[in-house]
Amino acid sequence: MNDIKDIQHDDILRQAVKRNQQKQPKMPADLNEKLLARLTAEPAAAEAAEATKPAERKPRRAVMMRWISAAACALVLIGIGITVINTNDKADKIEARAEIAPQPAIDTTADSPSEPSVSADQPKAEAPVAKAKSARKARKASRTPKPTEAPEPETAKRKIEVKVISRPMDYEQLLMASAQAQPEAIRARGQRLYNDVAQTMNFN
Amino acid sequence: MKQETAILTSRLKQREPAACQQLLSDYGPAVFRIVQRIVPQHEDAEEVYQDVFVKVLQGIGSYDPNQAALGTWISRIAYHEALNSVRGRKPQMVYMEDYNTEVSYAEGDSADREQTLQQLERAIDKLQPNEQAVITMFYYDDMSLADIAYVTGSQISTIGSQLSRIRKKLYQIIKTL
Repeated sequence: MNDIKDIQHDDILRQAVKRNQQKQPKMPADLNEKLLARLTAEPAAAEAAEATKPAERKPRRAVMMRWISAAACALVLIGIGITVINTNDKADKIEARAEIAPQPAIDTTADSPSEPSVSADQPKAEAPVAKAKSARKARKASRTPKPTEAPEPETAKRKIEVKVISRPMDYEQLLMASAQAQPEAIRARGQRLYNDVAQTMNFN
Repeated sequence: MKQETAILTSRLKQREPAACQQLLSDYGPAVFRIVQRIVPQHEDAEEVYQDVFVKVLQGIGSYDPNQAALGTWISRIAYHEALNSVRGRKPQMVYMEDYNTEVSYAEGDSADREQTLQQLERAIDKLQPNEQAVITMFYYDDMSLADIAYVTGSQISTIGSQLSRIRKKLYQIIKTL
C-alpha cells in the first residue's frame, strides 16, 4: 500500500515522464485528415467490392467449367481405354476359340476318334456354360505358355503324321465316293483316265 | 460527460462524418501517445493509429458504456493493436536481474534534481514498450489503476506491482548510467 503511495507521489518520475513525453515527436497535423479520407474511401471501396462480386463470380464459374470439362475429357479417355482393352480381350477370346476350333476338324478328317482333343471330348450340343469354361481354359492355356508348350507340338506332330498316313486313304475314299456319286459315262471316263495315269506311272 | 459520450456514440453508430472528426480530435492524441510508446517507427505508428480508429468505428456497436469510458475502451484497442504490430520484433530492452533496489533520490540542490530528471528521461527510453505505455498512462494521462488494468487486460494488483517494478527498474538503470 505504501508502495502505491510512493509511486503516486513520485513527483520526480512524474516530471521525467512528462518531459520525456514532450520530447516525443508530435502527432502529424494531417494524420486525422488522412484517416478521414481513408474512412470515407473504405465504405466506397466496400461498395465497389460488393458491386464487383458478381463479376468475380463469372471467372470463377469459367474456371469451374474448365475443370469440369477437363474431368469429363479424362473420363471419356478412360472409358475409351477400357473399351479398347475389352475389345482386345474379346479378340483374344476369339483367337483362343479359333485355336481350339480347328482341332476337332482335323481330328474328324483324320478319322481317328481314339485321339484325344480338347473339343472332341465334349459333345457338340454343349451348354454355353461349358463353352465358356472351355474358353476360359483356353485363355489360361494361352496366358501360361510354359505348361501348354510341351503338349502342343506333340499333338501337332501326331496330326501331321495322321495326315500323311491318311492322305492316300482319303484320296481313295474320295475317289470311291465320287465314283459312286457320278453317272456311268463320267465314271467310265474317270476309269480310263485312272488307267492311263496308272500305266504312265507304272502304278500297278 | 456520460451523456455527451452517449450522444457521440450514437452519432458514430450512424456514421456521421462530424462525429468521426469529434472522435479524432477528442481521443486522437491519447491514442497516438500509446501507439507511439509501443511502436517506435513513426510511419508504423501512424499506420497503427489509423488502424485503431478503423477498428473503433467498426466495433462501436459493441461498445458498452457500463464496462468502461469511451476513452478507456479506445485506449484498450490502441494498446493491443500497437502490441500486435510490434509482436515478433525484438526491441532494445534492458533486463534487470535485481529489482530490490532502494529507490533513493538525490535530495540535494536543484542541480542534482535536474540531473536525476535527465537520467530518468533517458532511462524511460530503455524500458520495454508496454512498460513505457503503462507509466505514460499512469503519470502523463493520470489514468487510474483500474483503467490501466482494463486497457492492458490485467488485474489492478498486477498493474500496481508492475508500476512498482518499473520504478525500481528505472532507478536501477540510473545507477548504471
